[in-house]
Amino acid sequence: MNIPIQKAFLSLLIAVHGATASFAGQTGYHDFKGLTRAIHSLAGEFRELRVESLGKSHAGLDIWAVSLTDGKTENPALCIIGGAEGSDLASTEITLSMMRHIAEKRMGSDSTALRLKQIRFYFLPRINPDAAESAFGKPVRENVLNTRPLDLDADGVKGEDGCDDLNGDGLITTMRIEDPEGEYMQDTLYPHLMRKALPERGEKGRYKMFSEGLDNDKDGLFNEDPKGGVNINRNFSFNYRFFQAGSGPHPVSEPESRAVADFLFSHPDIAAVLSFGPPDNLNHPPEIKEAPEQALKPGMEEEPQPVTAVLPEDAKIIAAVSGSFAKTCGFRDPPPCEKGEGCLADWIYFHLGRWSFSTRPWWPPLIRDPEPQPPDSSTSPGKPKTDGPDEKGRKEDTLAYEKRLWKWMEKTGRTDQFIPWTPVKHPDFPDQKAKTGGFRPFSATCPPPDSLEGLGLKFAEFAVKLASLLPRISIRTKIEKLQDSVFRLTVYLTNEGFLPTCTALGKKVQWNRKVLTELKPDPAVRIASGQIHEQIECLKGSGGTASRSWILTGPTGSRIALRAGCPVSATAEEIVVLK
Amino acid sequence: MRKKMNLAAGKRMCRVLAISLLYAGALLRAEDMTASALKAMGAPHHPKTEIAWNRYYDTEGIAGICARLAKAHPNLVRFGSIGKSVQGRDIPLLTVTDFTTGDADEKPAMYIDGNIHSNEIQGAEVALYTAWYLAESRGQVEWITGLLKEKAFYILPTINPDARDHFMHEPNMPHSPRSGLLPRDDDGDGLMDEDGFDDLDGDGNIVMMRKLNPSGRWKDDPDDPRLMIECREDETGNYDFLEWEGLDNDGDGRINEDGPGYYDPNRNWAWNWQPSYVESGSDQYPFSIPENRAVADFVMAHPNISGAQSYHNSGGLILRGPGQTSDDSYDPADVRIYDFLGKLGEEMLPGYRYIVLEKDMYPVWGGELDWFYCVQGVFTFTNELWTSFDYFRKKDESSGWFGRRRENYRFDKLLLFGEGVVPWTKYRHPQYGDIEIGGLKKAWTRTAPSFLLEEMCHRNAAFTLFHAHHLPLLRVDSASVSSLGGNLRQVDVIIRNMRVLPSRSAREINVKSTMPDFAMLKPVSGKIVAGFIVEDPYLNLVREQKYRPDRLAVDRVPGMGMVRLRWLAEGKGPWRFIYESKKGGRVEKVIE
Ligand SMILES: [Zn+2]
Repeated sequence: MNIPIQKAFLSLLIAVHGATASFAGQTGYHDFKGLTRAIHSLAGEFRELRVESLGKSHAGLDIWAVSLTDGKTENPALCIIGGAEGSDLASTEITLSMMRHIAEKRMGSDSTALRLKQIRFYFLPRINPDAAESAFGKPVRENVLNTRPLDLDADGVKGEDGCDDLNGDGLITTMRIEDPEGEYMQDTLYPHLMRKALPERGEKGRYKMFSEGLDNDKDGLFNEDPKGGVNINRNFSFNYRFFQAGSGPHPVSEPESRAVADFLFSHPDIAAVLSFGPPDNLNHPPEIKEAPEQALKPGMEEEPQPVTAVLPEDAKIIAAVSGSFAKTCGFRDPPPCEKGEGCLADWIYFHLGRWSFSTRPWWPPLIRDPEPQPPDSSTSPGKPKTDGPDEKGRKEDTLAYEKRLWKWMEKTGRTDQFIPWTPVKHPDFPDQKAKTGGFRPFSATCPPPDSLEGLGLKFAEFAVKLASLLPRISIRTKIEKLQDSVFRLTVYLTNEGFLPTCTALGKKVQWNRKVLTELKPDPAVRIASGQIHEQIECLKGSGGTASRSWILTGPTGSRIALRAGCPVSATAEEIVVLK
Repeated sequence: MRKKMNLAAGKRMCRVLAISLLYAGALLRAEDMTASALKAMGAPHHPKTEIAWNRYYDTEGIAGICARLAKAHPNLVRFGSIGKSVQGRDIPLLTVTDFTTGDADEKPAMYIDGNIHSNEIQGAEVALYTAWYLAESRGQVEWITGLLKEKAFYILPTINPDARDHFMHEPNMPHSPRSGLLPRDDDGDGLMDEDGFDDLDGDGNIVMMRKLNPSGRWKDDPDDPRLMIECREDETGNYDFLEWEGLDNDGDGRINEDGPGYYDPNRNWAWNWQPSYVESGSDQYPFSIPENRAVADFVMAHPNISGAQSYHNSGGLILRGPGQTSDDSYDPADVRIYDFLGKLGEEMLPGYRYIVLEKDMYPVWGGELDWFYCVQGVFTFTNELWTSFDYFRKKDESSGWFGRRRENYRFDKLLLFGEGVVPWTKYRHPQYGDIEIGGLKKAWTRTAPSFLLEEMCHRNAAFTLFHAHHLPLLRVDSASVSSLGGNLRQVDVIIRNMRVLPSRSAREINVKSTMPDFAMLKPVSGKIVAGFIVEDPYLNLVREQKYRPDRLAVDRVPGMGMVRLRWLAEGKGPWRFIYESKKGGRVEKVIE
């Protein structure tokens, strides 16, 4: 092939599509190159955007982080992370779009702009770039794994049995094989949708279901050992599951997860992280469960145990933020929440100890119609088909989500997003009827590209709202003259923001910096009681206060420079004079 | 700061020079030293490398010994590195096996490390001694010669080299640093390592500070005034115990609260890891500590490791997991093997007890030994080297890990002639005023005195050699071919394990964390029609593998047990039989 011509063609394409690549006939989503270009072009447009690579994925793709700041060092920060779930392309686009909107809003001179200027933003649009690239390759496949070579079927060979495009349509969908041992049947109402037969209703399965592909290594299993890898959203240390396909050899084993963890640990200014799930605490805030008081015998120390549920104090705050999210964005009928395993959002709360807010970027709107079915909301949606081991086949709950999706497609004229079941010759089933079909890859998780901009705008509004909730410490001082040249200095600290300076859980986490008050008195002043550095563990939100006082001796008129703050709040400074 | 670094680098250079000069002399003297001596049982005679086992070596000293061993025994010892420490030191690796009989990575291997806790130094000497003893005894002791043919050893004398040198060359107390030297903010003020110990009297030891106080609750021990004892309820004392030697360097009203490190490298392993509010010192995430990560990557890249030993101090213990009672990962079948080896250890190591970490000592989240067993399926012990039993060889089970204080001082007085203790001396402290500083030196109470070190090395090394001996050893027990008429033949093979450890632990099989063993039959011509694992040859109970019958996946060959395999094959052979086990090695046989 003539490479120069191909390159020229490519750049033409890019010019036409505004640096986006296409998958499955859709434009509007960025592949890695497009994303890189989009980020840099935004950074060119807005002086205060700074681009940094946090490291490379297994395939050598950068994990981009963009900061939005005027360079003032002591601002609290909000971090937005997209693409943790590798097949979630939408949140990357939304993060990009938020970047633009927030940078624009910040340029103005209204109160929002002023407020935004006191906040630092970090955007990590795509933290599993390897997986996302599968959307733009051939065949197009939904993939959540990075490209770390692994031997998922433990046969001594790495990545020898991934999906295959049997019908040559450039898409990896599903395949069904007629087989008396099959557990699946066609749904009665929507016969193109497949579900598990229910023997208790007298139903008998007729089909086996797999993702599209061959048994390349002839071990009786299909697509169980794809090229790669690890799902970054299963690779964090909270509720991590060993020995699962996709969870990796151990928590934080991957360059991608490590880059994100190291980034967050080294940025104590990040008060809260907005990321895209599953899981989803913005639409499904955690239950507020008061833990029973445990009576400890005096002198006995409690053996600390892992925390597995959001602490009630924090749950109340999350519920309030969730309410504000619903009000700002107005998204309706969220699908049920999936419980995360080793996922980023939970890790941020439970192990990093910071505020963590998370939601799906998008879901197909619920089209209500009378149907003699158990309501969709009683079951949880299944995961979209992914390149990876076919676990125990398709879960029953998948059907509820697929029905929702299908009805929305019918209503909006997108039924072409379902590839009809078509016979295919399958060498592993020479004597059986095989068909491929199903939803196009990404049609269940990625909204139509023309709705991305609107979503980005709504999320940007929410981010602005969230920014206004960050902790904000102010100080008040009082000097009492106790005697000639003996004074009591009292400093009152107040958190004017809504969010506490630290989560209740975060108080236990050694990596969270405390609220620090520092005195720098004139040389003639002696501190008779108290320390030059005093720490306060946490200031509650909405006016939470604390105070510290010192007895100082020194001549009247001496000055004391005071600083108080912590990285998640701007530092307050004051000079007091002894009088 | 920079000046100081250069000075240190210069010093290091001088030391390297001195060490290399020393080697030249030592090589010559080694001959002389054994020429006119009767061989004492246990010690290699005419060793090519003469090494003094009555002192503790820093990382350069260790590297020097490793280099000498590798140079003197090119077919037995290879010296490398598994990666770099935080400060850029190599983490030394000795690979020991009889390389003339096969590559180390293809033999069942024993992994040995020392010094993960930087102040627990003697593990490095025990590990080095093991390498030295193996290399120097090959050809002299038949059992060792055989062991080196069958098995390989990966020996990592120190997996915390930065802080080992810190312990040795910087002021410390017996319990510090323990951590490695990745800078961490321990007191939440945003500064790293800004308030560690201060060697107020400049003697290289961090000892205790005390202050006269007429209502203090401590007093001098009448038998040995160097020792402080707590007053009885109805007594008045004259001293307050303060902190370990140090200042409030950062003006927060606390002393020594943010020293070098601080984290616990042995709470940072991936299995059952918990954040530091559950397990103090676990650090940010599993293997966030570069040295640990290097070890984990090395172990994951060496699936032939089937036994492991790590050395700590102290207390005279042979520990196994689990670190949490709630952890039911330890399969009873594996526990029987642990018990067999552990009890052997108790016999070989007088004063040592074989115990279960959580049940008999304390709970640990994210410990090294649990990761080795629960994730890698490797039978792993942690030995707490040095026991107070060795003070006066009296059994005293309640004397604690470091022995009774009085014994520390008594032994010091009678056998060390006072060398182990800094006597109380006056000091003017900026925060406390007039105080006295004194107490036990850093190289005393957790580390063996010189004359007991060699014994400790040999006994512990011997324990790991038996562990290594019992790593799986697979042999083809028998192979037979019978005709089934036509062109079809039945091939029966029995594969046997001559040792106590299975070719895969029950743990690995339970969680499918590793590859199964593979039994392969490769025909010259014709195909393999069917393949079976025979469960009972008499009742014809067989398990057929329908896919790839030429490559049967076998769970394991049990310790001292066997597996029967059967194939139906076309043609009349010959066939090449290959049994491949990551942990048990590879066996081949041509079957006619
Ligand atoms: Zn230890």
